[in-house]
Amino acid sequence: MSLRERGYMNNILYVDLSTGTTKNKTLDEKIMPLLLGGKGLAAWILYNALDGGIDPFAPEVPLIFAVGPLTGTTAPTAGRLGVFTKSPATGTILDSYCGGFFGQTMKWAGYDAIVVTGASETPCTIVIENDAVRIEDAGDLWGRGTMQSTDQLRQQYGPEFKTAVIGGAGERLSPISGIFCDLRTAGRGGAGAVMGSKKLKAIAVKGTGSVTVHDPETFQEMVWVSHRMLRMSSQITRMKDYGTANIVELINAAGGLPTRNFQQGQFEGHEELWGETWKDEYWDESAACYGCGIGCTKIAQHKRLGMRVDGPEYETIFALGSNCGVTDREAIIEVNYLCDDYGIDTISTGVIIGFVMELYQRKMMSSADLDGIEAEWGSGDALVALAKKICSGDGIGAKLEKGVKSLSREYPGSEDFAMHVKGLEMPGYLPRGAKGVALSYAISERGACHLHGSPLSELMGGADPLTTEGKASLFKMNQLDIAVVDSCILCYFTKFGITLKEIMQMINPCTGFNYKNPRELEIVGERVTTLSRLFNVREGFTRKDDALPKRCTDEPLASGPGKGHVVELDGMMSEYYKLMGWDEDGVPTKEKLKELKLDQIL
Amino acid sequence: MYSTSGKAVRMNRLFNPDDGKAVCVAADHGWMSDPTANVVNLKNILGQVIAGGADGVLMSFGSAQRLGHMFQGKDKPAVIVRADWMNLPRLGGANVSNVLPVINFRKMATSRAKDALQMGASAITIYYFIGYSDEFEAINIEQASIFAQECRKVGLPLIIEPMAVGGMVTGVNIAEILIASARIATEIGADALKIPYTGDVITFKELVDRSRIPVLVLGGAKSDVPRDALELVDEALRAGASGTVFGRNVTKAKDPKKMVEDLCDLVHGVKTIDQIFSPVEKGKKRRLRGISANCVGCLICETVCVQAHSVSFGVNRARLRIESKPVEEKPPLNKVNVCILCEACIKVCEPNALTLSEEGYIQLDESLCIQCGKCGEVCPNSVVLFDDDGYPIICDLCEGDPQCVRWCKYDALKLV
Amino acid sequence: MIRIELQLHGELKRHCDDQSKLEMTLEEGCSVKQLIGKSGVPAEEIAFAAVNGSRVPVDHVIEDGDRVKLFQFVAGG
Repeated sequence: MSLRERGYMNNILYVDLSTGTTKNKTLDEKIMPLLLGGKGLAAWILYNALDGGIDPFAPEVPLIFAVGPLTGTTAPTAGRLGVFTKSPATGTILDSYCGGFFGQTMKWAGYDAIVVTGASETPCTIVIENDAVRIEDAGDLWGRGTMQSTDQLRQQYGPEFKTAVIGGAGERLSPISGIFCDLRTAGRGGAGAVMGSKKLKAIAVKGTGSVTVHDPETFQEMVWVSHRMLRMSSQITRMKDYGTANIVELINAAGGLPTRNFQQGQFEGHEELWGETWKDEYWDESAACYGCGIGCTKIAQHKRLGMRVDGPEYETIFALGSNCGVTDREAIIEVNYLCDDYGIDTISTGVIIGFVMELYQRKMMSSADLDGIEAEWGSGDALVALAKKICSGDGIGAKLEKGVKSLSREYPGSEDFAMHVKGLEMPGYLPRGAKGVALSYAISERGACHLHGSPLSELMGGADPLTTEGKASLFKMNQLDIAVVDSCILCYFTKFGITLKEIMQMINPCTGFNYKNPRELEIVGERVTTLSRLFNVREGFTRKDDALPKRCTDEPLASGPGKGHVVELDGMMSEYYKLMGWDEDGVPTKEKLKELKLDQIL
Repeated sequence: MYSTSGKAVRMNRLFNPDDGKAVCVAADHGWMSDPTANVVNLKNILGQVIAGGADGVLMSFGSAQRLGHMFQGKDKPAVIVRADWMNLPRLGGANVSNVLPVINFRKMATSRAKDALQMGASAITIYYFIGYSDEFEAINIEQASIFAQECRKVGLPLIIEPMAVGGMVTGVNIAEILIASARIATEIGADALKIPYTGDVITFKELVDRSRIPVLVLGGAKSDVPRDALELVDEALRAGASGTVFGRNVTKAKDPKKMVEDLCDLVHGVKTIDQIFSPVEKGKKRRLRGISANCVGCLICETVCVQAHSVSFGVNRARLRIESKPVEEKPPLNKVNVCILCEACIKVCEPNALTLSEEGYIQLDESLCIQCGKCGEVCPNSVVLFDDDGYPIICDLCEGDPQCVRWCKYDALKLV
Repeated sequence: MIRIELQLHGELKRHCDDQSKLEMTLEEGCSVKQLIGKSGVPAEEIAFAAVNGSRVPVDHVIEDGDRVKLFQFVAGG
C-alpha cells in the first residue's frame, strides 16, 4: 500500500523562486518509518541539501513548510505547521512551529512538505490551490503588516485560503522575525527573515482533499482515547481556562519567573500578570487551533486603543512584563499587537528590551543613545517606545532588531548578562532556578529554547529544580518525546495529557508502521535529535557553544527559593553527552550513528 | 486446614455469581493521609454506597470493625479489608516516580488474614510495589507471599493491588509494567487484581489476558465530563475486566448513591453508557443545535463528519459548517451552521427523493433525485451541498448518533 | 497556637468546600507536610507548597501569620 493511504500525501512540493518553477517528489518509503515526517523529514532534507557554512540568506537555502502523518486527521492538535530552515539568528538548524489552520489545509491540498528555494527578484506570493501552484506578484502587500496582509489575501483569494505571511521585520531580514498564520506564529529563530530574503511575502493555500489512514476504525478509537486523556487532565483544564498565562503565579512562587533581565526569579508585581488577572480584565474570548480540545488561545482587547490580539501568552507576559519590570498590562497588549503586526518574536523583543534597560541602568547606554527614550525598569512607555523602534527598524531600532548577541558585542562587558544562547534570546524560565531547564537552554539545537525537551516540570512540582542530579536523563527523555511530537506533528501541550504510548497507538493505525512499543518511537526521536545535532556540528558547533551567559553560571542568585544558586553546567553536560552517545565534544559517535541507522540515510 | 471452598464461597459473595462482576468502593484512605472530611463522614457516605447497591466496600480494619454492623444482611456489600499501610500519599507529588527516594518509603502489614476473616471480611487487599529497585520489589514479593499463604490456609480471597511507581516507571513504559505486575500478582497467588486502567482497550486486554484472574479496574483521575469516568469502565469491561474499585470518584462525588447505581448498571450490563447519559424518549424527534457562543473554531466537527461519511479526513463537503471571523473583529468569532431539520429541502423536493425517516433523519433516494438543486437553494443555513454528480449531501444525523456532537469538546453542538 | 492563612490554587479548592482561602489555627512547629494532612487535599494532587509566595520544602516549619499556598499541577510552556 502506498504512503498515500497511510497518513501521508506522498508528495513534496519544491518551488524555486529564482526560476519560477515547481516540481513534485514522492516520499521515500524507506525513510518515513525512520523519521515520521515534520521535523524528522525536514531535518533530513536540510541536511542533505546544504553544506556547512552557508549564509542563511543565500538563495539555495531551503525554507521548508512541513506537516506530519497525523496532520489533518482528528488526532488532537493535528493542525500544527512546522517551519524549517537555517536560522539567521544562530546559524543552527531552525525548527519553529505554529498552530492555526495552515498546516492541515496544506496537507489537504496534497503536500507533506513545501520546500521553497531560490529568491524572487520582486515581492511575490505562492498561491496553492490543491495541485495548482502559481507564483504571483505581491508588490502591493510588501511593506504591509501581517494582519492587513492576511486580510487582503483572504479578500483576494477567498476565505478558504489559509495564509502564512511575514511582516515588515521579515522583509528587512531581522533575525527575530517570524512567520504568521492567522492567529498563530512560528516566531522563534528568524524564519521570517529567510522568507524575506526570498522576497516571499506570503503563501496562500487552499486544500479540498483529505487524508486517508491505514486502519481508520482503530485509528479513530485511539484518537478518542487521546482526546479523553487530555480532557481528563486537570492541568489541561486549567490551561483551557487561563491559557498559557495560567502558570505565572506558580512559576513566580517556584522562583523561575525571569525578572529584570534574568537578575531575579521572582517579580514583586507578579499578581498584575496572573492568568486570573488577565481573564478578569481583558480576555473576552477563547479560540482553538485545528483539532484541538485544549483551546488555550485567549483574546484580549486594548481598552484605550481598541486593538484585539490573541494573547498575551505566558512567554509574552514574562518577556514584556517581569523581564522589563513592567506591570502595565495595556503596554504589554499594545507591544504584543505591534510584534504580531510587524512579524517579530515577542520573546526576543522582550529580552532585547530587558537587556537595553539593564544597559541603561548601568549607564552603558543613555537616553541619547536610545533616540531620547528613557529606558527605566518598569516603564510601560519605554517598553512601547523601544518596541516601536524594534518593529520599525528606525533609528536605534536598526541595532536592536539584530538581537541581544549582536548588541552585546558593542558594549564590552555586557556579554555576561546578554541573555541568549547561540544568538537566540532566552525564554521565560530562570536557568538558575531550574537546573534541567538551564541544561536544555545550553544544548537545544536552535539556541535557548524551552520547547525542545526543556524539563519545565521541575518548576511545576515534578522534580527538585535546584539539583543537577538526574537532570541530564530527564532532559533527554523529554527531548526525545518532543522530537516525536514535532515529527507527527502535534502540539507541545499534548504532553500534559498523553504520552508516547498514546502517540504510538495513533501512529500505528495511521501509518501501518507497527512500532512495537513506545521505546521504538523514542528511538525515532533520538534519531531526529541526533540528525539536528549533526547539522549543527557541520556548521562548527561543539561543546564550547553549548554555553550559558556568565549571569547563569557565575552570578549567585540573590533571592528567592534558588538563593545562592548558579548553574553547574559542565557535569550535566558531560552526563548528557554520554547518555546520547556523543563524544566529550558533543559530536555524535560513529557507533551511535550506526545504531540509529543514520549512516544509511545520510 | 487447606480450604479452597472457603475462597469460592467468599469470591461469590464479592462477585455476583450470575455474571462474575463486582462494583466495589474503596474507602480505606483514612489513615494514609490524615483524616479528611469525607473520611470522617464515612458512615454517611457508606450508607449511600450501600443504598446504591455496591457489591463490596474496601475499608481499613478499624473502620470495618466499627461499621461492620452496616454490612449485615444478605443484600449488603461484602467487606474487603485493607491489610497493609504505606506512606506514599504523604510523601507527595503525582510524579513521585522521579523524586521519591526509596529511603523514605514505608509499607507494612497491619492485619493478618485470620483477623480479617474473624471480622467477616470476604477478601483482603494488599499493595505490591513495582518499579523502584529489585531489592524493594523482593521485599514486596516476600510480604505479599506471606499474605498469599495465610489466605490459602483460611480460605480468604486475596486481592493484590500493583502500584507502578519509582524511577523505573515512565509514561512510556507504564502500561508494560502494569501488564507485567498483573501477571506477577497472579503468580504470587492473588485471587483478584485491583489495578489502574492502562488508558486503552488494547493494552488492558493484554493485561487481563495475562493475569487469568478477575481484574477490578480502579477509578482514575476526576474528569469534568462525568461520562469520561464511566467510559473508562466501559472500555475496561470490553477488555475483559470483572468490575471496578472506585474510591474518591464515588466518595467525593456530588451524589455517591447515583454514581454507584450508574456503575452497577454499567458493570452488570443493565444499561449502556448511552442509556445512562442520554436516555432516548420513544418517538421523540431530535435535531442538532449549534451554540455559536461556545464554539472555538477547532473544526473537529467538520472533520469527523467527513470521516463518518467517507473514510478519509478532511473538511470538504462536511454536512455542517463553522464560519470563522478574523480575531481583529468583534466576538463571537465563530458561527455554527447545522441542519436544524426544518424540512424545507423535503418540502421543495418534487420527485420526493428526500424524505424523513421514521427515526427522524433525512434520507435521499438517488434513483428518484433529478439533481435539480432546489434543496440547496432553500436551505436557510446553506448546509446542503452537492457532490460532483449534483446529488445533494445532507446531514443524516449519522443515522441517530451524530459524530459531531460526540466529538465536540466545547458544548457547541447538541442533540435536542 | 499559631494562626495562618491557607490558600488553595485552582482546582484544589474543591477539596475544601470550594473555599480558596481558609483561616486555620495550628500547633506551633507545624510543618507544611502536617498542614497538607490537615487540609484534606490529597498530597498527590499538590505540585508544591509556597509560604508567603515562595516555594518551600514540605518539612518547612510554618510560622504565625504565614500565608501558605498549595499549588496544583499545571501545564504550560
